[in-house]
Amino acid sequence: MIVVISTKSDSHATTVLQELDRLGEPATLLDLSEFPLHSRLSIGYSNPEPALFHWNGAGSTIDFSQVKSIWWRRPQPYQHDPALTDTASIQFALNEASEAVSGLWHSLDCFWINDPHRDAAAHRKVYQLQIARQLGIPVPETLVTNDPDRARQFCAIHEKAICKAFSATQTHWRETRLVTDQEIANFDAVRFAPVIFQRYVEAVYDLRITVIGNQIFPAAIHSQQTEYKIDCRMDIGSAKIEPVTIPPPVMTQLRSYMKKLGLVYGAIDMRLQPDGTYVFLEINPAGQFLFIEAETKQPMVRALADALANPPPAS
Amino acid sequence: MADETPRRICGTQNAHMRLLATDPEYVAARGRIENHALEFARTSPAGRSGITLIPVVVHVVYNTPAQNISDAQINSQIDVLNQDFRKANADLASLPAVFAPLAADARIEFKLADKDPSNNPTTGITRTQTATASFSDDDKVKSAATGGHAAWNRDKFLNVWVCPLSGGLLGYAQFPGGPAATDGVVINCTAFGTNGIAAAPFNLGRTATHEVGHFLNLRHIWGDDGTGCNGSDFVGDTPNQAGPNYGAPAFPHVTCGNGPHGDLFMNYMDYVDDRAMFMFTAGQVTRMQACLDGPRATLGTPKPNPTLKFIDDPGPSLKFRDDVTLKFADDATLKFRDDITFKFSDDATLKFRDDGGGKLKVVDDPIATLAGGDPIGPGDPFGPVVNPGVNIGGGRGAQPFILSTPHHSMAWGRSFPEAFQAQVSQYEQQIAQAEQLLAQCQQAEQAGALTDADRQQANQIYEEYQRIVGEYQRMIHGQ
Repeated sequence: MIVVISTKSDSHATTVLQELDRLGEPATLLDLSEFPLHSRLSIGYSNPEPALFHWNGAGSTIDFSQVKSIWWRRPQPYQHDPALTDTASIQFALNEASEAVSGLWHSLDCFWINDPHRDAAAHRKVYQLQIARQLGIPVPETLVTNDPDRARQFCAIHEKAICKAFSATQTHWRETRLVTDQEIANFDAVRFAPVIFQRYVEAVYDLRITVIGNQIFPAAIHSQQTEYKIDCRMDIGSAKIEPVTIPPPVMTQLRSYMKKLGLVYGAIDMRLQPDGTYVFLEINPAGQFLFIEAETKQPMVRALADALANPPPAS
Repeated sequence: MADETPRRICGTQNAHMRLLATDPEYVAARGRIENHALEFARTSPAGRSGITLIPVVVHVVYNTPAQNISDAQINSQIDVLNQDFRKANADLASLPAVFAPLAADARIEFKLADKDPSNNPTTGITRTQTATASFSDDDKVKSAATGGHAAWNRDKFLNVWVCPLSGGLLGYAQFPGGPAATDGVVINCTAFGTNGIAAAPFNLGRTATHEVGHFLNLRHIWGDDGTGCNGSDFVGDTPNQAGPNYGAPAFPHVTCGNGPHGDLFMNYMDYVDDRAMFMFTAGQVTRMQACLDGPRATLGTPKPNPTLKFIDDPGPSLKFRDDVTLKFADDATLKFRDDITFKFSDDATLKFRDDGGGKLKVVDDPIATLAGGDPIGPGDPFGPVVNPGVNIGGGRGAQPFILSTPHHSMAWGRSFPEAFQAQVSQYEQQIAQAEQLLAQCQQAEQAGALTDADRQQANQIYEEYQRIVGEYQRMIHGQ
């Protein structure tokens, strides 16, 4: 049995589930927002029986002791029963739910894409840069600070600098921006929350490098031919995306990087500088790949399904 | 022998010493006033909020026709006071950067009185010809019997006598706590204002700034101890300084171990020339505000209507309702949603939705009510208008850097049309909400129901509103 932890509205989950079905692999979607509202979880230890990990969901029943792989794709927040109305009861219920389920994840002897705890750590942008540097992968000169003076100093040293936020989503769009006079005039506001400042990396093109297990799918995003050259996500609809090869030493570095982070899956953003350097920007441990596959025809859905269907032997 | 390089001379300390020696009530009052000032600085009570507007009467007492200075010269002095006590003087740009954090807005403005003590219309100027060739710091200019003009009620007016002064004296003030009949400041007619007979190097109106500083209880910055290092001006943020500075010193001028930056000689309470003095410190402002809270509590009034910017400046804003691309004016279903942020949704600003009472009514009303016919007629100024001070709650406050600088591109709209449309809709709703709030503020303002704090918040909302309108227009017009 393969479990995909996500939600019905996630096209990546549904596409991979269809592929698993086509391969004849039993697989199910698990939406954590059903818990504890609609789903019943039971974990039991009674000698001499094996441990019981039973999930009775609205749509499916899962015996977690029989699960070989789990895709930690888009875990949803737990939902309480609306019969609980006071804050203390709701907080308590959600916290207890979290304790029980987190314990379950730790207890399972299965293959994860990605292990939830490694995944959580790998989401931290500061940690991403730290590990990249440790492995000798070029990263842009960076300053994360809420000190306006240090920010000014950094942006004075670097002729072109960018600023970006830790979190940016489509609904709260915060594109990476060049630091202009307008930003500098507002630097006093840096003290309210840390900002990521980096030397601006000139680009031949942006790279989206999707790693799935042992397979690496590098794609070039020709951001410099779009309306917004600073952040390739902004005008991604106009950007030409095509498969590209990257030098073997970079491939080797990225494999080491994934291993060090303990990730099976990751979508890595890099920039190819005019001088030929591949500069690491960040990794998205839960990044999307369908928009790349649609353009490049690189078989990533299949690779993900294969990885889930054929987990490596337990070590 | 004429002094080739005239130096500033202020008679305030002389007058102070004279009163201390002759007036036991003054001595007692000074003690109370200093205790109050210290306590005020220590505990930082609210004091007066916003800007205090002080009515001024200028008593021109002249011997020669030339000394009967023009209205223009008087007005030029009022202008200087209004710049200097609002930190709006252009020469503040010359302040050495190391002192920049010290400079402060005294939050005091001045206007010539338009009603005299009997409540009759007045120009705020009296003109008296005198047989006295020139006066000194002995207060004779303050009484008709001694060749001058009597003070107006010092509880209501700042009395400014402008007359010829002898011995190079530029002016003098009476500290708070002195007799009513002599309360006010005296300025030499050649050191008053910026035009007419005002003469360099004291022709930039700074003598009056200095003397009004005394009138509001400021001391000379060096502490009036000759050239020693023990005197204090009772202000914490002014560097200890030996004696007065004259002329236009070069920065820094180190005394009393106050290096590396030295004396704050560009302070209005030093003795430098007009062109070389251009700031009060925050500590001095606190002391002046303590004076307005204490011994001069009856003087001046809150400045009416620091004006809602959007009343003076309809800007792109209220016209926006006519923009045909905005449909919300006809949409009767718009309400606050919990997830809508007019940027201040995360803080207390929208809290009023949870507040009790009828305060919710206006904001939950369909926009159509406001857009089509004013439900709050002019005949009922206090009708359903609620005080936006309550409504607006804690104000929008500051925003983190990333959120407070505009987008550099809207190109993502093409790539993510659904998210883009959602953002457009959100902006439309935020604009509608802001217009409602601003309309309420305008109505409340007309009803006289706004406090300064309300206005400040309303102006913040207006600024945020303009920002959102800007972003919205960029999105709509595809920039």
